[in-house]
Amino acid sequence: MRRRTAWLGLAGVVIFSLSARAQDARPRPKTYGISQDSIYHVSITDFVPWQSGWGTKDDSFIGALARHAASCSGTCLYAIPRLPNGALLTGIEAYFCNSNPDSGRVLGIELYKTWYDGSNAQYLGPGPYSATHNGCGEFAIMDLTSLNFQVNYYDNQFYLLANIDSDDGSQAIAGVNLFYRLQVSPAPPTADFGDVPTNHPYFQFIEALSGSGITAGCGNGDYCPDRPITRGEMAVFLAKALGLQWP
Amino acid sequence: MKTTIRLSLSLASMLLSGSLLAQATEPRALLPKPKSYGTDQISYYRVAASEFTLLDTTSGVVYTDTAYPTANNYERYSVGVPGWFVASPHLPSGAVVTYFELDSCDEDPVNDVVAYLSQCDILGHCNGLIGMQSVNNAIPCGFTSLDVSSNGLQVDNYRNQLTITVITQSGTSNTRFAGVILGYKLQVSPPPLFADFNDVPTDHPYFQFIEALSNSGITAGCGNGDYCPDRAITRGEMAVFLAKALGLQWP
Repeated sequence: MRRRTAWLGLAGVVIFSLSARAQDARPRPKTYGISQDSIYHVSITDFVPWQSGWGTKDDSFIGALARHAASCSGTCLYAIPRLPNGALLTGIEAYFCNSNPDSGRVLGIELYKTWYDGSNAQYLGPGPYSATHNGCGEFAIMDLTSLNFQVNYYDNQFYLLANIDSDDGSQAIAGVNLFYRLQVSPAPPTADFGDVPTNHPYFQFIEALSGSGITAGCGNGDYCPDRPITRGEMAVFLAKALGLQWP
Repeated sequence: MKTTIRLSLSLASMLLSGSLLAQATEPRALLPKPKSYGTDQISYYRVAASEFTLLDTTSGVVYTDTAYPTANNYERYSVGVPGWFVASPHLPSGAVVTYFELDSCDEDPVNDVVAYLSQCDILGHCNGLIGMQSVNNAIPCGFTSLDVSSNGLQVDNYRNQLTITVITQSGTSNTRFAGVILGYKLQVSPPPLFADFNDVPTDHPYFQFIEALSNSGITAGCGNGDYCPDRAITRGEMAVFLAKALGLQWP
Protein backbone atom coordinates (compact mmCIF):
# COMPACT_ATOMS: atom_id res chain seq x y z
CA MET A 1 0.00 0.00 0.00
CA ARG A 2 2.77 2.34 0.93
CA ARG A 3 4.72 1.50 -2.20
CA ARG A 4 1.68 2.10 -4.37
CA THR A 5 1.19 5.54 -2.85
CA ALA A 6 4.79 6.38 -3.59
CA TRP A 7 4.39 5.32 -7.23
CA LEU A 8 1.30 7.44 -7.63
CA GLY A 9 3.24 10.35 -6.20
CA LEU A 10 6.07 9.83 -8.62
CA ALA A 11 3.68 9.68 -11.56
CA GLY A 12 2.09 12.87 -10.35
CA VAL A 13 5.44 14.62 -10.27
CA VAL A 14 6.18 13.70 -13.87
CA ILE A 15 2.76 14.72 -15.15
CA PHE A 16 2.69 18.00 -13.34
CA SER A 17 6.16 19.04 -14.34
CA LEU A 18 5.34 18.32 -17.97
CA SER A 19 2.13 20.27 -17.86
CA ALA A 20 3.85 23.15 -16.12
CA ARG A 21 6.45 23.32 -18.85
CA ALA A 22 3.83 23.25 -21.59
CA GLN A 23 2.02 26.20 -20.05
CA ASP A 24 5.21 28.13 -19.56
CA ALA A 25 4.30 31.11 -21.69
CA ARG A 26 6.31 33.79 -19.95
CA PRO A 27 9.93 33.97 -21.11
CA ARG A 28 12.48 33.13 -18.50
CA PRO A 29 13.63 36.40 -16.95
CA LYS A 30 17.26 37.35 -17.36
CA THR A 31 17.48 37.88 -13.61
CA TYR A 32 19.21 41.21 -13.66
CA GLY A 33 19.07 44.60 -15.22
CA ILE A 34 16.86 47.55 -15.86
CA SER A 35 15.31 46.67 -19.20
CA GLN A 36 13.89 43.30 -18.27
CA ASP A 37 12.54 41.19 -15.48
CA SER A 38 14.46 39.75 -12.58
CA ILE A 39 13.03 37.03 -10.33
CA TYR A 40 12.40 36.93 -6.64
CA HIS A 41 11.18 33.60 -5.39
CA VAL A 42 8.82 33.79 -2.45
CA SER A 43 9.13 30.39 -0.88
CA ILE A 44 6.33 28.83 1.12
CA THR A 45 8.64 29.06 4.11
CA ASP A 46 8.38 32.83 3.73
CA PHE A 47 4.63 32.61 4.31
CA VAL A 48 3.86 32.74 8.01
CA PRO A 49 0.61 33.08 9.94
CA TRP A 50 -0.12 36.49 11.38
CA GLN A 51 -1.47 34.89 14.52
CA SER A 52 0.85 32.37 16.11
CA GLY A 53 -1.97 30.07 17.20
CA TRP A 54 -2.89 29.25 13.64
CA GLY A 55 0.26 27.36 12.77
CA THR A 56 1.09 25.94 9.38
CA LYS A 57 1.29 22.59 7.70
CA ASP A 58 3.55 21.71 4.79
CA ASP A 59 3.95 18.52 2.85
CA SER A 60 0.24 18.00 2.57
CA PHE A 61 0.60 16.70 -0.97
CA ILE A 62 2.76 13.68 -1.64
CA GLY A 63 6.42 14.49 -1.39
CA ALA A 64 5.80 18.16 -1.94
CA LEU A 65 6.36 21.14 0.25
CA ALA A 66 3.08 23.00 -0.08
CA ARG A 67 1.77 25.12 2.77
CA HIS A 68 -1.55 26.03 4.29
CA ALA A 69 -2.53 27.42 7.65
CA ALA A 70 -3.24 24.73 10.21
CA SER A 71 -6.35 26.08 11.90
CA CYS A 72 -7.39 29.14 10.00
CA SER A 73 -9.29 29.61 6.76
CA GLY A 74 -8.97 32.59 4.44
CA THR A 75 -6.17 35.15 4.42
CA CYS A 76 -4.16 33.70 7.29
CA LEU A 77 -0.62 33.63 5.86
CA TYR A 78 1.47 36.53 4.70
CA ALA A 79 4.94 36.98 3.22
CA ILE A 80 7.19 40.01 2.90
CA PRO A 81 9.42 39.77 -0.18
CA ARG A 82 12.69 41.65 0.02
CA LEU A 83 12.92 43.24 -3.38
CA PRO A 84 15.51 45.93 -4.12
CA ASN A 85 14.43 49.43 -3.22
CA GLY A 86 13.10 51.31 -6.24
CA ALA A 87 12.34 48.16 -8.22
CA LEU A 88 9.17 48.15 -10.27
CA LEU A 89 6.86 45.18 -9.76
CA THR A 90 6.11 43.70 -13.19
CA GLY A 91 4.56 40.29 -12.66
CA ILE A 92 3.67 37.41 -10.40
CA GLU A 93 3.12 33.71 -10.82
CA ALA A 94 1.89 31.28 -8.22
CA TYR A 95 1.81 27.52 -7.89
CA PHE A 96 -0.97 25.76 -6.11
CA CYS A 97 -1.99 22.36 -4.84
CA ASN A 98 -5.74 21.99 -4.99
CA SER A 99 -7.86 18.89 -4.53
CA ASN A 100 -10.96 20.97 -3.95
CA PRO A 101 -11.57 22.46 -7.38
CA ASP A 102 -14.87 23.85 -8.59
CA SER A 103 -16.10 24.03 -5.04
CA GLY A 104 -16.21 27.78 -4.87
CA ARG A 105 -13.40 27.61 -2.36
CA VAL A 106 -10.81 30.29 -2.87
CA LEU A 107 -7.10 29.52 -3.31
CA GLY A 108 -5.03 32.49 -4.31
CA ILE A 109 -2.60 35.29 -3.66
CA GLU A 110 -3.44 38.92 -2.94
CA LEU A 111 -1.17 41.98 -3.01
CA TYR A 112 -1.14 44.59 -0.30
CA LYS A 113 0.91 47.42 1.09
CA THR A 114 0.88 49.34 4.33
CA TRP A 115 2.47 52.56 5.40
CA TYR A 116 5.92 52.30 6.93
CA ASP A 117 4.38 51.95 10.41
CA GLY A 118 2.12 49.10 9.40
CA SER A 119 -1.01 51.22 9.30
CA ASN A 120 -3.31 52.04 6.42
CA ALA A 121 -3.24 48.62 4.75
CA GLN A 122 -4.17 49.05 1.13
CA TYR A 123 -5.31 46.35 -1.27
CA LEU A 124 -3.23 46.64 -4.42
CA GLY A 125 -5.00 43.95 -6.37
CA PRO A 126 -5.45 40.24 -6.82
CA GLY A 127 -2.59 37.90 -7.63
CA PRO A 128 -3.10 34.55 -9.33
CA TYR A 129 -6.02 32.39 -8.24
CA SER A 130 -6.59 28.68 -8.66
CA ALA A 131 -10.19 27.89 -9.44
CA THR A 132 -10.58 24.72 -11.43
CA HIS A 133 -7.27 22.91 -11.33
CA ASN A 134 -7.10 19.57 -9.58
CA GLY A 135 -3.74 18.55 -8.14
CA CYS A 136 -0.40 20.30 -7.77
CA GLY A 137 0.98 22.27 -10.63
CA GLU A 138 -1.37 24.92 -11.84
CA PHE A 139 0.34 28.20 -12.07
CA ALA A 140 -1.04 31.44 -13.24
CA ILE A 141 1.02 34.32 -14.56
CA MET A 142 -0.16 37.86 -14.15
CA ASP A 143 1.26 41.00 -15.65
CA LEU A 144 1.45 43.61 -12.91
CA THR A 145 2.99 46.48 -14.85
CA SER A 146 -0.34 48.31 -14.91
CA LEU A 147 -0.25 48.31 -11.11
CA ASN A 148 2.75 50.63 -11.41
CA PHE A 149 3.88 49.58 -7.94
CA GLN A 150 7.39 50.53 -6.97
CA VAL A 151 9.22 49.11 -3.96
CA ASN A 152 9.74 51.87 -1.44
CA TYR A 153 10.94 50.77 1.98
CA TYR A 154 11.00 54.30 3.31
CA ASP A 155 7.31 55.00 2.83
CA ASN A 156 5.60 51.65 2.73
CA GLN A 157 5.81 47.90 3.09
CA PHE A 158 4.69 45.57 0.32
CA TYR A 159 3.42 42.12 1.23
CA LEU A 160 1.52 39.13 -0.11
CA LEU A 161 -1.44 37.44 1.50
CA ALA A 162 -2.25 33.81 0.76
CA ASN A 163 -5.99 33.29 0.67
CA ILE A 164 -6.71 29.61 1.33
CA ASP A 165 -10.29 28.67 2.08
CA SER A 166 -9.58 25.11 3.23
CA ASP A 167 -7.40 24.38 6.24
CA ASP A 168 -7.76 20.61 5.97
CA GLY A 169 -4.90 20.08 3.51
CA SER A 170 -7.03 20.00 0.40
CA GLN A 171 -5.73 23.41 -0.68
CA ALA A 172 -2.19 24.76 -0.38
CA ILE A 173 0.31 27.06 -2.04
CA ALA A 174 3.56 25.65 -3.40
CA GLY A 175 5.39 28.83 -4.26
CA VAL A 176 5.30 32.29 -5.74
CA ASN A 177 7.62 34.05 -8.15
CA LEU A 178 7.70 37.80 -8.30
CA PHE A 179 9.08 39.60 -11.34
CA TYR A 180 10.56 43.06 -11.03
CA ARG A 181 12.71 45.54 -12.87
CA LEU A 182 15.49 47.65 -11.47
CA GLN A 183 15.02 51.34 -12.12
CA VAL A 184 17.40 54.27 -12.29
CA SER A 185 16.09 57.19 -10.21
CA PRO A 186 14.36 59.86 -12.26
CA ALA A 187 16.39 62.97 -13.00
CA PRO A 188 16.31 65.47 -10.13
CA PRO A 189 15.25 69.08 -10.76
CA THR A 190 18.67 70.63 -10.09
CA ALA A 191 22.20 69.72 -11.14
CA ASP A 192 25.02 68.74 -8.77
CA PHE A 193 27.82 69.53 -11.21
CA GLY A 194 28.52 72.68 -13.23
CA ASP A 195 29.47 70.76 -16.36
CA VAL A 196 26.52 68.32 -16.26
CA PRO A 197 23.44 70.54 -16.60
CA THR A 198 19.93 69.14 -16.43
CA ASN A 199 19.79 68.80 -20.23
CA HIS A 200 22.99 66.73 -20.46
CA PRO A 201 22.25 63.34 -22.06
CA TYR A 202 23.76 61.50 -19.07
CA PHE A 203 22.36 63.89 -16.44
CA GLN A 204 20.03 61.33 -14.84
CA PHE A 205 22.78 58.72 -14.50
CA ILE A 206 25.53 60.99 -13.23
CA GLU A 207 23.13 62.41 -10.64
CA ALA A 208 22.29 58.86 -9.55
CA LEU A 209 25.98 58.15 -8.95
CA SER A 210 26.49 61.41 -7.15
CA GLY A 211 23.38 60.88 -5.05
CA SER A 212 24.69 57.46 -4.03
CA GLY A 213 27.99 58.90 -2.85
CA ILE A 214 29.94 56.93 -5.42
CA THR A 215 31.48 60.03 -6.95
CA ALA A 216 32.04 63.57 -5.78
CA GLY A 217 33.12 64.73 -9.24
CA CYS A 218 36.53 65.73 -10.55
CA GLY A 219 36.92 68.86 -8.45
CA ASN A 220 35.82 72.50 -8.70
CA GLY A 221 32.16 71.47 -8.78
CA ASP A 222 32.60 69.62 -12.07
CA TYR A 223 32.24 65.97 -13.03
CA CYS A 224 34.31 66.00 -16.27
CA PRO A 225 31.90 63.68 -18.12
CA ASP A 226 33.92 63.67 -21.34
CA ARG A 227 37.28 62.90 -19.81
CA PRO A 228 38.40 59.33 -20.38
CA ILE A 229 38.36 57.33 -17.20
CA THR A 230 41.57 55.75 -16.00
CA ARG A 231 41.84 52.22 -14.70
CA GLY A 232 42.52 53.72 -11.29
CA GLU A 233 39.31 55.79 -11.32
CA MET A 234 37.43 52.73 -12.53
CA ALA A 235 38.63 50.83 -9.48
CA VAL A 236 37.34 53.60 -7.19
CA PHE A 237 33.94 53.66 -8.89
CA LEU A 238 33.45 49.91 -8.71
CA ALA A 239 34.78 49.45 -5.19
CA LYS A 240 32.55 52.22 -3.85
CA ALA A 241 29.51 51.19 -5.87
CA LEU A 242 29.63 47.57 -4.76
CA GLY A 243 30.89 48.19 -1.25
CA LEU A 244 33.87 45.96 -1.92
CA GLN A 245 35.28 43.90 -0.34
CA TRP A 246 34.59 42.73 3.15
CA PRO A 247 36.00 39.61 4.68
CA MET B 1 2.31 12.72 9.31
CA LYS B 2 3.04 9.48 7.47
CA THR B 3 4.36 11.48 4.58
CA THR B 4 6.66 13.32 6.91
CA ILE B 5 8.06 10.08 8.24
CA ARG B 6 8.63 8.75 4.75
CA LEU B 7 10.41 11.93 3.77
CA SER B 8 12.49 11.60 6.89
CA LEU B 9 13.60 8.10 6.01
CA SER B 10 14.47 8.92 2.43
CA LEU B 11 16.48 11.94 3.49
CA ALA B 12 18.24 10.02 6.21
CA SER B 13 19.22 7.23 3.87
CA MET B 14 20.67 9.61 1.33
CA LEU B 15 24.39 9.53 0.87
CA LEU B 16 26.18 12.44 2.37
CA SER B 17 28.28 14.16 -0.21
CA GLY B 18 31.04 16.64 0.29
CA SER B 19 33.66 16.20 2.93
CA LEU B 20 33.39 16.98 6.58
CA LEU B 21 35.63 19.98 6.99
CA ALA B 22 35.48 20.93 10.56
CA GLN B 23 33.83 20.16 13.82
CA ALA B 24 34.81 22.54 16.52
CA THR B 25 33.62 25.29 18.76
CA GLU B 26 36.31 27.93 18.76
CA PRO B 27 38.23 29.38 17.15
CA ARG B 28 36.43 29.81 13.87
CA ALA B 29 39.74 30.82 12.39
CA LEU B 30 40.15 27.14 11.59
CA LEU B 31 38.34 28.00 8.37
CA PRO B 32 39.46 30.67 5.95
CA LYS B 33 37.40 33.79 6.38
CA PRO B 34 35.32 34.35 3.26
CA LYS B 35 35.81 37.54 1.31
CA SER B 36 32.05 38.16 1.05
CA TYR B 37 31.88 39.38 -2.54
CA GLY B 38 32.88 38.45 -6.00
CA THR B 39 33.22 35.67 -8.47
CA ASP B 40 36.37 34.00 -7.26
CA GLN B 41 35.71 33.67 -3.56
CA ILE B 42 33.12 32.83 -0.97
CA SER B 43 30.41 35.13 0.31
CA TYR B 44 28.34 34.30 3.36
CA TYR B 45 24.56 34.07 3.70
CA ARG B 46 23.21 33.54 7.19
CA VAL B 47 19.83 31.96 7.82
CA ALA B 48 19.06 32.60 11.49
CA ALA B 49 16.91 30.26 13.57
CA SER B 50 14.18 32.91 13.60
CA GLU B 51 13.71 32.46 9.83
CA PHE B 52 12.91 28.77 10.20
CA THR B 53 9.29 27.67 10.39
CA LEU B 54 7.96 24.29 11.37
CA LEU B 55 7.08 21.83 8.66
CA ASP B 56 3.94 20.81 10.52
CA THR B 57 2.12 22.26 13.48
CA THR B 58 -1.10 20.31 13.11
CA SER B 59 0.02 17.47 15.35
CA GLY B 60 0.82 19.89 18.12
CA VAL B 61 4.48 20.46 17.31
CA VAL B 62 5.62 23.72 18.75
CA TYR B 63 8.99 25.36 19.08
CA THR B 64 10.52 27.66 21.57
CA ASP B 65 13.62 29.80 21.64
CA THR B 66 16.10 29.91 24.45
CA ALA B 67 15.61 32.70 26.88
CA TYR B 68 17.31 35.48 25.01
CA PRO B 69 18.20 38.09 26.17
CA THR B 70 18.34 36.97 29.79
CA ALA B 71 20.26 33.83 28.93
CA ASN B 72 22.38 35.77 26.45
CA ASN B 73 21.88 33.26 23.67
CA TYR B 74 19.37 32.59 20.93
CA GLU B 75 18.65 29.07 19.80
CA ARG B 76 15.51 27.27 18.68
CA TYR B 77 14.23 23.80 19.51
CA SER B 78 11.05 21.77 19.27
CA VAL B 79 9.06 20.81 22.33
CA GLY B 80 7.91 17.26 23.02
CA VAL B 81 8.61 15.66 19.66
CA PRO B 82 11.32 15.97 16.98
CA GLY B 83 11.05 19.26 15.15
CA TRP B 84 11.32 19.65 11.39
CA PHE B 85 12.25 23.22 10.56
CA VAL B 86 12.41 24.62 7.04
CA ALA B 87 13.73 27.86 5.58
CA SER B 88 14.62 29.14 2.12
CA PRO B 89 17.70 31.29 1.62
CA HIS B 90 17.41 34.09 -0.92
CA LEU B 91 20.71 33.94 -2.75
CA PRO B 92 21.51 35.77 -6.01
CA SER B 93 20.48 33.87 -9.14
CA GLY B 94 23.37 32.07 -10.76
CA ALA B 95 25.48 31.91 -7.62
CA VAL B 96 27.14 28.57 -6.86
CA VAL B 97 26.79 27.27 -3.33
CA THR B 98 30.15 26.25 -1.96
CA TYR B 99 29.77 25.91 1.78
CA PHE B 100 27.13 24.66 4.21
CA GLU B 101 27.39 25.14 7.96
CA LEU B 102 25.14 24.21 10.86
CA ASP B 103 25.42 26.05 14.16
CA SER B 104 23.82 24.01 16.88
CA CYS B 105 23.96 22.67 20.40
CA ASP B 106 23.76 18.96 21.09
CA GLU B 107 23.71 17.90 24.72
CA ASP B 108 21.80 14.68 24.05
CA PRO B 109 23.81 11.41 24.07
CA VAL B 110 21.56 9.79 21.45
CA ASN B 111 19.71 12.40 19.43
CA ASP B 112 21.26 14.96 17.11
CA VAL B 113 20.59 18.10 15.21
CA VAL B 114 20.61 17.33 11.49
CA ALA B 115 20.60 19.78 8.60
CA TYR B 116 19.82 19.11 4.94
CA LEU B 117 20.22 21.33 1.95
CA SER B 118 17.71 20.55 -0.80
CA GLN B 119 16.84 21.88 -4.20
CA CYS B 120 13.03 22.08 -4.38
CA ASP B 121 11.18 22.74 -7.60
CA ILE B 122 8.40 25.25 -7.88
CA LEU B 123 5.83 22.63 -6.91
CA GLY B 124 7.72 21.82 -3.75
CA HIS B 125 9.24 18.51 -4.82
CA CYS B 126 12.61 18.36 -3.12
CA ASN B 127 15.80 16.45 -3.71
CA GLY B 128 17.71 16.03 -0.50
CA LEU B 129 21.20 16.76 -1.65
CA ILE B 130 23.53 17.40 1.22
CA GLY B 131 23.20 16.58 4.87
CA MET B 132 25.20 16.91 8.04
CA GLN B 133 24.92 16.05 11.68
CA SER B 134 25.29 18.30 14.66
CA VAL B 135 28.34 18.55 16.80
CA ASN B 136 28.29 15.67 19.22
CA ASN B 137 27.62 16.05 22.87
CA ALA B 138 31.27 16.03 23.73
CA ILE B 139 31.40 19.54 22.30
CA PRO B 140 27.95 20.82 23.24
CA CYS B 141 27.75 23.97 21.14
CA GLY B 142 29.55 24.69 17.91
CA PHE B 143 29.43 24.25 14.18
CA THR B 144 29.75 21.53 11.62
CA SER B 145 30.47 22.40 8.05
CA LEU B 146 30.70 20.83 4.64
CA ASP B 147 32.61 21.89 1.56
CA VAL B 148 29.89 21.55 -1.08
CA SER B 149 31.74 23.31 -3.88
CA SER B 150 31.83 20.12 -5.94
CA ASN B 151 28.09 19.47 -5.67
CA GLY B 152 27.14 21.74 -8.55
CA LEU B 153 24.47 23.57 -6.57
CA GLN B 154 23.62 26.64 -8.59
CA VAL B 155 20.96 29.09 -7.44
CA ASP B 156 18.08 29.16 -9.88
CA ASN B 157 15.16 30.98 -8.22
CA TYR B 158 13.02 30.53 -11.32
CA ARG B 159 12.00 26.88 -11.25
CA ASN B 160 14.07 25.69 -8.31
CA GLN B 161 14.63 27.04 -4.86
CA LEU B 162 17.16 26.06 -2.22
CA THR B 163 15.51 24.82 0.94
CA ILE B 164 17.20 24.08 4.24
CA THR B 165 15.75 21.55 6.65
CA VAL B 166 16.93 21.34 10.24
CA ILE B 167 15.75 18.51 12.46
CA THR B 168 16.03 18.78 16.22
CA GLN B 169 15.65 15.15 17.16
CA SER B 170 15.24 15.12 20.90
CA GLY B 171 12.27 17.43 21.22
CA THR B 172 13.95 19.01 24.21
CA SER B 173 16.34 21.90 24.71
CA ASN B 174 19.14 19.35 24.55
CA THR B 175 19.11 19.59 20.75
CA ARG B 176 18.76 23.14 19.47
CA PHE B 177 20.15 25.32 16.72
CA ALA B 178 21.11 28.93 16.16
CA GLY B 179 21.14 28.93 12.37
CA VAL B 180 22.73 27.83 9.15
CA ILE B 181 25.34 29.55 7.02
CA LEU B 182 25.71 29.13 3.29
CA GLY B 183 28.77 30.18 1.35
CA TYR B 184 28.41 31.04 -2.33
CA LYS B 185 30.24 32.53 -5.29
CA LEU B 186 28.80 34.92 -7.81
CA GLN B 187 29.02 33.72 -11.40
CA VAL B 188 29.14 35.54 -14.71
CA SER B 189 26.76 33.91 -17.20
CA PRO B 190 28.50 31.53 -19.60
CA PRO B 191 29.07 32.96 -23.08
CA PRO B 192 26.04 32.66 -25.36
CA LEU B 193 26.16 31.02 -28.78
CA PHE B 194 25.75 34.19 -30.80
CA ALA B 195 27.27 37.64 -30.61
CA ASP B 196 25.19 40.76 -30.00
CA PHE B 197 27.80 43.10 -31.44
CA ASN B 198 29.66 42.97 -34.76
CA ASP B 199 32.95 44.05 -33.24
CA VAL B 200 32.81 41.57 -30.36
CA PRO B 201 32.70 38.16 -32.04
CA THR B 202 32.35 34.96 -30.05
CA ASP B 203 36.14 34.52 -29.94
CA HIS B 204 36.80 37.99 -28.51
CA PRO B 205 38.60 37.70 -25.15
CA TYR B 206 35.91 39.80 -23.43
CA PHE B 207 32.99 38.24 -25.30
CA GLN B 208 31.42 36.58 -22.25
CA PHE B 209 31.46 39.74 -20.18
CA ILE B 210 30.28 42.14 -22.86
CA GLU B 211 27.37 39.81 -23.63
CA ALA B 212 26.52 39.65 -19.94
CA LEU B 213 26.29 43.45 -19.82
CA SER B 214 24.29 43.58 -23.01
CA ASN B 215 21.83 40.91 -21.89
CA SER B 216 21.32 42.70 -18.60
CA GLY B 217 20.22 45.83 -20.42
CA ILE B 218 23.19 47.77 -19.05
CA THR B 219 24.57 48.67 -22.46
CA ALA B 220 23.18 48.78 -25.97
CA GLY B 221 26.60 49.34 -27.50
CA CYS B 222 28.07 52.41 -29.18
CA GLY B 223 25.77 52.44 -32.20
CA ASN B 224 25.65 50.72 -35.61
CA GLY B 225 25.53 47.31 -33.95
CA ASP B 226 28.97 47.78 -32.41
CA TYR B 227 30.21 47.90 -28.84
CA CYS B 228 33.60 49.62 -29.45
CA PRO B 229 35.45 47.46 -26.90
CA ASP B 230 38.82 49.20 -27.43
CA ARG B 231 37.61 52.78 -27.19
CA ALA B 232 38.46 54.60 -23.96
CA ILE B 233 35.41 55.09 -21.76
CA THR B 234 34.52 58.56 -20.51
CA ARG B 235 33.51 59.36 -16.96
CA GLY B 236 30.03 60.15 -18.24
CA GLU B 237 29.65 56.74 -19.89
CA MET B 238 30.94 55.10 -16.74
CA ALA B 239 28.15 56.79 -14.79
CA VAL B 240 25.55 55.36 -17.16
CA PHE B 241 27.02 51.85 -16.85
CA LEU B 242 27.07 51.90 -13.06
CA ALA B 243 23.71 53.60 -12.52
CA LYS B 244 21.98 51.13 -14.83
CA ALA B 245 23.86 48.12 -13.49
CA LEU B 246 22.96 48.81 -9.88
CA GLY B 247 19.56 50.44 -10.35
CA LEU B 248 20.81 53.56 -8.58
CA GLN B 249 19.80 55.53 -6.58
CA TRP B 250 16.59 55.20 -4.65
CA PRO B 251 16.04 56.85 -1.31
